[in-house]
Amino acid sequence: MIWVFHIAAASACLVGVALGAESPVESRGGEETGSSSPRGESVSSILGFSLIPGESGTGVPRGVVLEGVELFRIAQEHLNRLDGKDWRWVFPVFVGSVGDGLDDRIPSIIGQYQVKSCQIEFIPQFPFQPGLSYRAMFRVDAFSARLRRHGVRFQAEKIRSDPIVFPFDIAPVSSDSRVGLTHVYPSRDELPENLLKFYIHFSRSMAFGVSHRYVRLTRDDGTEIVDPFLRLDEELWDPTGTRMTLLIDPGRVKRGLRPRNQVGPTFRAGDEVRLVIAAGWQDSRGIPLEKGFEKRFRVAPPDVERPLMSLWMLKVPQAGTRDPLRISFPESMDHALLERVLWIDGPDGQALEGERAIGSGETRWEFRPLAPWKPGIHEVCAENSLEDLAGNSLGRLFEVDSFLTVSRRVERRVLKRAFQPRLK
Amino acid sequence: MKTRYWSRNMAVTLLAIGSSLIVKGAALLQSPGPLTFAPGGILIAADPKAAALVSIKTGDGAASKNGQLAIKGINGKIAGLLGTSADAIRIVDLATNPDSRCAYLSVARGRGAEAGAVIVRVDGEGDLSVVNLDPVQVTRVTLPNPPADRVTGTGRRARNQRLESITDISFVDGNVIVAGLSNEEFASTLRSIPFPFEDTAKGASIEIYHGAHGRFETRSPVRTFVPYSIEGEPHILAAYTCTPLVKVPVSQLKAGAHVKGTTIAELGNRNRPLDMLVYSKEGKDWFLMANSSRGVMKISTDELADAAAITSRVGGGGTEGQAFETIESWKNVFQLAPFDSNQALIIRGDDGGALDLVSVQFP
Repeated sequence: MIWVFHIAAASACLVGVALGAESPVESRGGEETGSSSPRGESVSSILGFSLIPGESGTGVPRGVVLEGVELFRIAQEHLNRLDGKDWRWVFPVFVGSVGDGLDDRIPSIIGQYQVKSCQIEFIPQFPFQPGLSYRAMFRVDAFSARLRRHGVRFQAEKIRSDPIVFPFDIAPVSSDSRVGLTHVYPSRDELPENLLKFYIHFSRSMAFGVSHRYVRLTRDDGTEIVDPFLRLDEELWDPTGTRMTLLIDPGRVKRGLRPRNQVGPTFRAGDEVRLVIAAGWQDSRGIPLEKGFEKRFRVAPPDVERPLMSLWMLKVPQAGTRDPLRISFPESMDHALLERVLWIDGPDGQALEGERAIGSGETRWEFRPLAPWKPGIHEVCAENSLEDLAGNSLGRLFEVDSFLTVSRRVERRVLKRAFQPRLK
Repeated sequence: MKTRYWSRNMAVTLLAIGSSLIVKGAALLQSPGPLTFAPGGILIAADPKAAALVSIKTGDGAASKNGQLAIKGINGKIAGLLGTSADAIRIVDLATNPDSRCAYLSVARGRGAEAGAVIVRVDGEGDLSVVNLDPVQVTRVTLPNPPADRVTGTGRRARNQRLESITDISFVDGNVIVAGLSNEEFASTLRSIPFPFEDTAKGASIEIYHGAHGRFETRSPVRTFVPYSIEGEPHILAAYTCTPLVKVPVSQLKAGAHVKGTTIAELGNRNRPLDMLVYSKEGKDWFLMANSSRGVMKISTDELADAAAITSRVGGGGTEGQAFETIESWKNVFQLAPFDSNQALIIRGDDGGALDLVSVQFP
């Protein structure tokens, strides 16, 4: 069977091109839908799809190339008349391995099309995703129609209207590096009734927006605590996606509100509670946690006292050494804030560089300077935003009794306490 | 060259051609955040990770003659457009251009911190496209007092883990008001940024408090809010994270102010406000508030001006403050936006399942 294509540009005369079994270009994976023609005589035998390799190491192709268009004898200038919209219709790439993209109304992937010496290159705007199947397609009849629309006559006799489909899979990410849950703070096993938050740390970036499916609180009698957490449109993650802040619904912490009055506080002193994190939670690659996690704790009476810097115990190091300065707090403090809003100023008023460590159920903070301690007056500095486990900060209580005199404005202030490294 | 990928049914030879094409646009938004519209078809998008706002000229034309919109499986369609699966798409917010009635969706493409931020436009015919964040069309402003706090740790472990989530933004009286919530200290700020944006935002930061029953007051992050004029005075009606609905006069939102909202309704347990809008029907104004799992609440605006603060305990199960009813038929609605004078545009669906973007008559 001989297929005859006629091409005519506005200024050009009719050119007839015969294509047949002697076609020099082999298909690189073009796959016809429906019945196939023998001996490579169909359009699919002169057109080939291939994948553009991605950056080394990723294993994810960067795009798809459609080749063999030159055998239609269409000059590049004519191909260039087709714009991105045309190519998206003629040469669409879809997520998934089945369907012709016409019935299911799932749009084709957005990206850039470029004509390069009779190859059409498609680069998706966002990279192909590991573990997913895709399919590229060439619609011969649509190609013909779009060319005509741009004044290029292209007729293909006996061309079937079936699109040529090229399915491809992107290898899934190796799951040998499973994500782990590394820490949960507060780390103590006794927590106040008015506890305000947990921090959950992971070994790599997690999937956002799904924590409510995997995190729950149960009492030791097996009953689940209903709706304990504040559910936000956007969960509270750190910029790396490895630490999630889980807020207890403040409507059930704060006194006098309906949620608390109707169903009581989330925790009641004396309860034995388990924080349960299910293993199904996936990381940002779609690989689930290596195992689930449980933290048991006992609920203590509410903490309604404001933390005071004056009650901190300091174990002062010796000058000339790099021994740590150790601060002991009378109660557990917020882990994240201990990391961020507590530091040491040297005698020159500049913050010292060094290593910090938090321990003993967040009741201890240690600082080991990079350079040995100098003699002279140093200061422990803390922003007044430093909170205990119940949201009471150095600046104010979580719930302020406004019958008492309170500052009408809370400014961000730094509280300081002086110490001098011991002399030999 | 051999790289690792799978191809079914066939052996595929890889071809290395051309140099990489740089895809511009998406990088202008580091993270997906809430959306709102300023007059003149200008879309404003919050970028929580960058602590920034961007304004985008949409260039939308007149409204489509199509008086309704119904797109089944909007998350699947967006996933198709962005070349991924529906479970790797998160719709963060929905806004409609009041002039064109085009819907704009703030979308995370990916699952975690490295997800791309994309704004998807749905026109009156239901066609989806990705908004081109061409720098020429986009103005960007960094929020005042961003959480650029000290870095913790040393060496390679050094980083700043603090991030402020932006829970809602709205255009109010020539300013963009931004409600933020910290992922560390239990505090939030409301910022008021003059619009149009200048290079450096000279916005006001306001601390918002909630006074419960005349006695205890807390710092109370605002979760969602709408502008609303009460007897000619611009207000915001805000839902706190601890559920009360409060009113705050916009005139009080001044730099450094300590503002205590007046509680006008207690929404009760399990009503977790996600989104709000105001509409008029039969000569009366109403608020609609979407909740995470229950139906949508329709709240009266009657006598808002005189609404006295709720100052005593609300008894078990009893209602107090503004009258409201729950529209049970609007279940699983998690995004709300006005569509036209008679309809809202909503996104609804089961958690983890297919989501529909549909216009529905106001209740």
